[in-house]
Amino acid sequence: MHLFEALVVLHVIAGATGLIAFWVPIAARKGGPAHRKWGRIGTYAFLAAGTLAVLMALLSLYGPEQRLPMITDRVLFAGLFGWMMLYLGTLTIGFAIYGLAVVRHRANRAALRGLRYQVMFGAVIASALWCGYFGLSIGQPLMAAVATVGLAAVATQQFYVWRASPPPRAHVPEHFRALLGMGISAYTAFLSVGLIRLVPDHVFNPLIWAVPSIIGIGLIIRFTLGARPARRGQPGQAHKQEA
Amino acid sequence: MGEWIGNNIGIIEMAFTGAVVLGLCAWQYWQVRDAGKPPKD
Repeated sequence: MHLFEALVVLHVIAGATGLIAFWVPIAARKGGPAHRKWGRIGTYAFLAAGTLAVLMALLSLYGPEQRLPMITDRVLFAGLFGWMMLYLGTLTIGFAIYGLAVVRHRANRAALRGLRYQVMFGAVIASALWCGYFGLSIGQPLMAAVATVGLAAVATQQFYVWRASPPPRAHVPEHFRALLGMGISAYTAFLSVGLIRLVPDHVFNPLIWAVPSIIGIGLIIRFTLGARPARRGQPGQAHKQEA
Repeated sequence: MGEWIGNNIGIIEMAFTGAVVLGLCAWQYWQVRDAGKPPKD
């Protein structure tokens, strides 16, 4: 078995684990044992899948030319399966690390300003900027548009990390926005690259690409509104949300 | 105003992300649809 095929197998195993485990913390009581246990399993599985995606992207960029020799447009191949995959893998890793870190350091946000996390933010920004630039330079504005999503995510994450006085329990929406964003990224990859092999005629079906984002963003907005501090005199839902 | 933006930045980010993703899907839909049409004279 070639190295790339071995990476694909490991990527599928890790990704499938994450795709299944992802739903348990969403359905379980927030902060309960099942939420934390399965949330960790899903997040570590996606971390592994994202790391393997980065390795596969690097192999596509710098590996032997004979991989998929039938593809003649090598520049487009490098753009989509190299730089954009590298960026999306990095973004998934960034979401996973940040989503766990905001809970771990909820009482000490200054820890998120440390070198380890700032290097991670820098890696996401650098990969997004290069993906966008490369996309524009080869006439693929789609790559630039996808890159803006990651840049917006890092901007809001950095806003939370560096703002002077966030409202109480502000880490809760940060936590589920990052980890649901990780799930959106993974499910989009699964539907558009994995499952699509069963129904290849639908490879350009926009619904395939839109469904994970519609469901994920809907869940994020619902949880964000639910986690807001209650107005005076009203019993709030904020107390129910414990990450 | 600044405080409102700060407290709702997550919703703003999601609205932006949703607009980008749905915009891309719409763009993709028109690309595929137009690709199947015969060229105009």
